[in-house]
Amino acid sequence: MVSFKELHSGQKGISKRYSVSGLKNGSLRIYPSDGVTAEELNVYLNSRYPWNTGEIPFTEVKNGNERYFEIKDVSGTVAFSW
Amino acid sequence: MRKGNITIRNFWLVLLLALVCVPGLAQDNLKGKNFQSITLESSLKPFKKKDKAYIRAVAHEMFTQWHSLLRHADTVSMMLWTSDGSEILDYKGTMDQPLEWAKYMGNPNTDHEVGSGPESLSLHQRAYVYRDDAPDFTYGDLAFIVKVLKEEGRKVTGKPIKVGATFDPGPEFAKSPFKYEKHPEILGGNAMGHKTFVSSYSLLNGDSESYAGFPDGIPDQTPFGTFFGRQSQHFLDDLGFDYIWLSNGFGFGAEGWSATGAIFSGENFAQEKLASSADKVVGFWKLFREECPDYPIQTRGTNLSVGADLARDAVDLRNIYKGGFNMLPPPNSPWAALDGDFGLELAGYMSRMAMLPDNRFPFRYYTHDPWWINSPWLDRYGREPHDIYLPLAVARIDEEGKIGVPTHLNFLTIDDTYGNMPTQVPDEVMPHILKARYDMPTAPGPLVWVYPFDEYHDWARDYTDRLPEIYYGDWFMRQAINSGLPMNTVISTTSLPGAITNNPGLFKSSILVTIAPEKNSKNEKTLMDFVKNGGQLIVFGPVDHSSKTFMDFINLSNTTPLSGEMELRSEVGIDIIKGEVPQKIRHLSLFSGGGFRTLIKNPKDSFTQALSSVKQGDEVRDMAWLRQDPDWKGGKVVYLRGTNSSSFTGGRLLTPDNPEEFQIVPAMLRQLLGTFGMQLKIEKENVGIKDPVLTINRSDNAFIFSGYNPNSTVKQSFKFEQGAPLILGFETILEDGFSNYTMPTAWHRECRVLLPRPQEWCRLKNFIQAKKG
Repeated sequence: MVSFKELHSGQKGISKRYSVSGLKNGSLRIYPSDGVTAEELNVYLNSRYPWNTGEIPFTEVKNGNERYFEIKDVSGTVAFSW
Repeated sequence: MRKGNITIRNFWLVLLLALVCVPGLAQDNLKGKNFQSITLESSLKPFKKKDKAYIRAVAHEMFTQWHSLLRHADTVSMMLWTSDGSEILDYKGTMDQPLEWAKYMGNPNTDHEVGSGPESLSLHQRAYVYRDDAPDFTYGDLAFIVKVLKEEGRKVTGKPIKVGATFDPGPEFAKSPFKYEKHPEILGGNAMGHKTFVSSYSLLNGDSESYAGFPDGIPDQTPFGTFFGRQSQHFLDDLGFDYIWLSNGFGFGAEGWSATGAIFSGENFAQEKLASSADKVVGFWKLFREECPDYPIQTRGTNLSVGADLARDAVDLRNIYKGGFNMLPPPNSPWAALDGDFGLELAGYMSRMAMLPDNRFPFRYYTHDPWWINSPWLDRYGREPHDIYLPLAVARIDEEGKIGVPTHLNFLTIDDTYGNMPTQVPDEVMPHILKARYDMPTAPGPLVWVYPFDEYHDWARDYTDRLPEIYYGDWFMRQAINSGLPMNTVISTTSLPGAITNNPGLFKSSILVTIAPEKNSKNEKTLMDFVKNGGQLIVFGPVDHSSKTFMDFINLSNTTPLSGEMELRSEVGIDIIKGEVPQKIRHLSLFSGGGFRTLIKNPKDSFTQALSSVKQGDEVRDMAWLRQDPDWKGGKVVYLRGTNSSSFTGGRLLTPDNPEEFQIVPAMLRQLLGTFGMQLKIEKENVGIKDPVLTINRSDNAFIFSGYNPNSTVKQSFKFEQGAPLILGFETILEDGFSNYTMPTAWHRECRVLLPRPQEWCRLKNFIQAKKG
């Protein structure tokens, strides 16, 4: 079972935060707001407030005008914010 | 003295700056794109007493109820359903003239006198006055109401208020001796019984009554457009109105509500009448504008769509749009509230916005009905917002590749049949309007309808045998949307080349859907180039007028046409339906753009994959196939001949086939999306259950899903090329790469995460490496 929920910011400068839970060696493609750069996107694995640990890398993909960020082979809960 | 002057001057400067800046700061808190105009529509029924203070208080309350939404508009309008439009026809130019106004519940123009007859008579057979103490108004009272609305609206909103007048061609709203006793010769439309609607291109018999614009009476054989235009000019001037609204299809042909019309009888198309009938429609606009040149015109339009209106009733929308008539195009039809036909609402809406007179177009929402004792928000939609989120997921794209969303918003109406205005309605409706606006389209959706707006008008004019094809395309799309096709973006064939040139990546993530292009046309080349450069395309309908080059491109040939019942063989069905599912279709040539005659030209072509065929006796025709040439950089084209799966059975609209007897072929369009990696699967208890209606729009890089599920037991499963979409706020159990949901009647949710399957991840990895390399 996979779940996609919105979380509170709780962090200065962060306007949006979401989580995806229930992942088992899964991969994600994340579509943040237009204009959010790779530097502005934060992705965490199995982390929690105050979001000091668990940051993981991701890859930016562009296809025409479509743009998203990928995370591969993760288990547990991924949270991402900008 | 001099110092004092400076002080005073500084005081006024500070005050001026405060007045300018403070509202600006407040506006900074508003979220979402402003509407250019929001219109509150109302009858006079809320003015239950003819007392000036009471009228002023009611006017104040009207704007107060909607104030939090009106902050999101540049201009606010109040459109008055004063009467049925006969108040304009009857106007004599004096303010003490009694006003026959819309104080009724039901149809007051029947054989049964208002308030008479047995209880068993319906509202369509006999009307009631809405309250025993309904006031009598004069034209002077109406002028006062218009004035007070502008004053009180300005006080509440701080914005300029415009007030609109209305003209309805039918019998619904008030007694009309003008239409039904003095001048029945102007009646031509049959929307509410034989000859009950005014025909815009009728001629008036002479009379000797005095009218504001015709003090010596109407000269014999005066065009209705001339009379109505001159009367409108006087009426609007004298009573302080700012614009006029043409209701219920008026100005767009003879039949605003029906699948038939001046050209299509339900049995055949009278092509020979088309040119003269179309000229008459445009002629009305010209005559009206000669007499009433400057007041803006807003329009209701028909219940149907551009192609269907043109083929059945000679509605030449292109000439009306291009006529320089200073008109706002018609909004979405409100009839889905009554009949649940959201496919027709959306298809019609998109067809009309594919091209526009300028960049403006309205969205209209049916909150109350002031005439027929129903309040759609409360008792038709069941307080569910699907008819907000579905049409507001729609966007148009212009030739520069820019996204267009509605600039105007109308509420039909803010008062109910009893003249009440319960705050529950605005309080419950406004948040959904605003939410839909926050999530408005900012990029093309996954599917884009390339609408042949110019082609349809050209073909109707230049050919003698293409009306069935013009009629068919929109009906096919209507039923496809009703079967769950998420079609909510439109661009015209004329705008497509420019949009691609200006923004080459615009449709990289979209599938274009259109009909076969004309031989050697610019559109034909554009579509083929799009696919050859990696684009995804679906072509549906007959291919009777394309070039050999295009037919070879999709590997198609035509043979002798078939009609009637056929066995269906299909590889594309992914829906899970319990019980028996019929394996035959009914192809009626009259409703399907001609006979069924398509074949895969070269079955041995290794780039062609057959997907569906039909068989009648020993005859076989190919229904659908995929072609994917390796030289096309990943581009694909799917061809679907399709059939209407609907026919005229005597009702207002075409009636879909019985799904227990015949397959509904337009539903195949949704299932064919799987060939592009987009799978939208439905699981339901039996074939008779209606499919969910779905829109998917892109907003701020998110996928915004909106749905109308007429049956809440239906399960929906989603798998896109990019992965399984996760709907925000829900859990899902992934099955075979699909996310799975069972949704309520109306839903609207964001998606910002898709989960690719492991094997798809491998493909992606290769893609990335290729990109990096």
